Amino acid sequence: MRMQDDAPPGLPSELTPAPQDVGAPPDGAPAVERVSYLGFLVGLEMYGLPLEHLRDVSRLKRLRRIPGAPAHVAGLMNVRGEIVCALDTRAILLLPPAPSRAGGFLIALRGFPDPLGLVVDAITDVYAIDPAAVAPLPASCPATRARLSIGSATVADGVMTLLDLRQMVAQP
Amino acid sequence: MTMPNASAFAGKFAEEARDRLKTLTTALLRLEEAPGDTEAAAEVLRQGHNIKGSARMLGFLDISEVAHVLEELFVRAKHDPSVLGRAGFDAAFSAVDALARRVEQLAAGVIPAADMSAVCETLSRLAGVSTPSRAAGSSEQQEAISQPAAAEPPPASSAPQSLRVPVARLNGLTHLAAELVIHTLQTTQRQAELRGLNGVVGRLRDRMREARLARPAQAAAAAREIAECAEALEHVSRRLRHFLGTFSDDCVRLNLITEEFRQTVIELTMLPLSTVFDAFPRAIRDLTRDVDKEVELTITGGETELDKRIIEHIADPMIHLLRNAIDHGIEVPAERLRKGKPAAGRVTISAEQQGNRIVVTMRDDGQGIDPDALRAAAVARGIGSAADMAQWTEARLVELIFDAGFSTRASATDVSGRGVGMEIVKDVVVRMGGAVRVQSERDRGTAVLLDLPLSLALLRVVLVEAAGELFALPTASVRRLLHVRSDEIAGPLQNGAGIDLGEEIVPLASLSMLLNGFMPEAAARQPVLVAAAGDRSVGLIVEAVHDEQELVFEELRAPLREQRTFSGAAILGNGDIVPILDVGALADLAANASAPTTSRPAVRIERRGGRVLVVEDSLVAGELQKSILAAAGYDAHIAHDGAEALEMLAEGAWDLVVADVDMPRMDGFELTLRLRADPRFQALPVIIVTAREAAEDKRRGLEAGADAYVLKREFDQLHLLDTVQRLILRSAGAHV
Repeated sequence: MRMQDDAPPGLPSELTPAPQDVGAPPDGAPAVERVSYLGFLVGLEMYGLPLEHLRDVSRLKRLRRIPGAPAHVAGLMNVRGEIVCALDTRAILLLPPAPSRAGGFLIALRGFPDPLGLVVDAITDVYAIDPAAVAPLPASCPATRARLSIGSATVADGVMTLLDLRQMVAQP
Repeated sequence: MTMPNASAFAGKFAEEARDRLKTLTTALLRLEEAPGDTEAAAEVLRQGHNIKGSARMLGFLDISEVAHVLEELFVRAKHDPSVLGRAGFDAAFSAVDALARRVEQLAAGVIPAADMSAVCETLSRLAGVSTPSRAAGSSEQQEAISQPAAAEPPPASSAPQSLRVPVARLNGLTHLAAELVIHTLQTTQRQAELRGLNGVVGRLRDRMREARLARPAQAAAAAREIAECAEALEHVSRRLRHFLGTFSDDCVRLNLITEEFRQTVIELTMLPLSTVFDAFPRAIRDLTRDVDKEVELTITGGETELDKRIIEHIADPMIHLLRNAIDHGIEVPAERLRKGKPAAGRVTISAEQQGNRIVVTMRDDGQGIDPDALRAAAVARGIGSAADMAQWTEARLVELIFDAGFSTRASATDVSGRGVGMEIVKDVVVRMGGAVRVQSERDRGTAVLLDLPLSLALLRVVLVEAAGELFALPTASVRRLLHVRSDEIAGPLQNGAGIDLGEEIVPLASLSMLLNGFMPEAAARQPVLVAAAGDRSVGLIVEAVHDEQELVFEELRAPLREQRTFSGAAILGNGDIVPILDVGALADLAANASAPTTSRPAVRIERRGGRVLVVEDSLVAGELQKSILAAAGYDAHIAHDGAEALEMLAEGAWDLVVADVDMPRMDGFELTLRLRADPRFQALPVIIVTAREAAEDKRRGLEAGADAYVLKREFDQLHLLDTVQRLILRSAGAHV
């Protein structure tokens, strides 16, 4: 019931995590298998994270701020009965704070020892990307963003920066 | 070689072997104590043989080899007990240790054999058998040595991954689940009933509206219509009354079942303290070996059950206390004899349940803690002048051993008879919501009391509001709820106020200020919760006190794990998340944020505990309860039966009733029923205190509308006061 409420519009209802290891370059046999990425917006920029790290997407609501928490922690959110720590993606990417707090989504992550999620502005789509088509970021890219991503890819909706989730989560 | 699927069975084997090694250790200790104990000898042989058998079957030849020579030694000992001297037992214990380490490796998935040759050789030599040369075994050992993975034992995962649960408990759960389903169905039916009534009311409303709009010519018909509607309404009202009656019955029943359900679920994760205690006889053996001391250990209450997580956390502190008792408490035999004590020191470990707490006591009859040495150490550390320290009572001095840095080996505390790391012990216990107390008497001995909660899973909290947000404060830490006028505290708060409670002054701080660094606009009267963690207290000004709830406690995880001001978080009934405050950290913050306690301006508070009516026909019991309540700051009065209680209640304002069951004229059940039927007293908290232990009576009491039921058997001051405080807090919260 709540799943229906929480599912953002325009997102395919069946998200099948891609089995490939994203970080690994295709070695040996020519791997043409594509990797699925969830695209989302933070500000005007589009970012992507491997679908295999996605657990759940829900509208950002009743986010509980924790006084004294590190700057990159937006707060705690109840995601289907589990207390998930919501990371402030803007703060991690060193972007200015969102002009308004209205709206937004929480992408709950899987594959980390602690329950974590990323606060983002909007969800765009799921894209299948050929690992060979991942390009390095332009040299003009800010150092922080370069450190937190593995490259960029051009998709139907524009250019997407592919995030290195482990680096994102390891933020001090 | 190992069976191809040996690894699949390694976990199961390890689980069984752990138990067997434990039994084996106990039997070895018994046998060493009493060499003629044939039963213990038989047990050693049985366990050794079983381990050998299973290990061989699964191809863990290194294990079976050790078990085999161990068995040989004890077979030989049957005919020649002399082989089991000190050396024999040492060898046997080190074999058990080696096996235990190997078993943990298996549990962690390290299958290749380990090198056990040293252990085997010692045992074989003692048993007088030649070192068995098993080609397969030794070649495998060679293999193992070349594999670095097997050489380094992985971090032992001492916590088993599965739990054994008595069938009776599971059956209990099954029954409760069935009962829950039935009551849920009933509630659904009531919903239909309510919907029906709502429909009737809606139709009546429409009919009356129409009648009101009727033209004057139809006035007579309209009047008739309205009269009919009134009659129908009367019928609806009767049905609603009936509905409310049955519905509140449902609620009571559902609450009882839920309570029982929750209790049973909690019990599933409870372990007996013997899980920890069983390791102590062996620890004593190891600890006394090199210090030439003799120690007799007595353990009682090992069957007492506690939350698994608490059990896992207190094992190390307990061993630490045991080491302290042996190293620093118990004297060497010569000195003991000189003091007129038996040569062997006595260490007693006991555990008992007190209400919803478990008190574990470790007592030794050693030299006790030397207060003069403590005084000297305190002066050396600048805690106070020699004159100051002379004023301190021994009880207060002894508490110093818990201060961080005080009990380091380099400090004089070591000389005073208590060793290192007491602050770590305290830290672990306080973190779990417990407390540590020490009692010591020179040359009579020392007792350390660990006061532990029964369970960590559920936490009773008071919800408070600060800067418009809810926070949870553990009820166990709340000492008092007061109200202060904001004009009284505005000035003093600027420069770090204290709150004068008569017996002590505690730092006063605004919760919003501590957490957010700003003060919200103050109301005319503000609630202050005086909370304590260990020996630190703080008066927290909040904007409002909401109700008290029982929440499922969850620790804060990374990246919030280091957040000192919160111990955890929980999800409320409406799905919102509430952070749980850490009282110790808040007290530190408040103390650091302001001037030292002695110089801070103090806000004096008049004692307002609440007015409590004790209804009790026994003079002794009545006076006892009255004095307990009065000592805790309540204004307590006695009524001698239910009828008198009703008269007294009608005359003044009361905050709570404590009622006995068996009384002349009107018993406690009837009194409670009457109070609940009277709109003036519907919200008045009622505690029934009685000797009646039957569950049926408890049900009757709660069904009559009592808020709590305290048995006279378990009737102790703290439990009653806890309940009184909790209920008064709850009803005060509802009014704030």
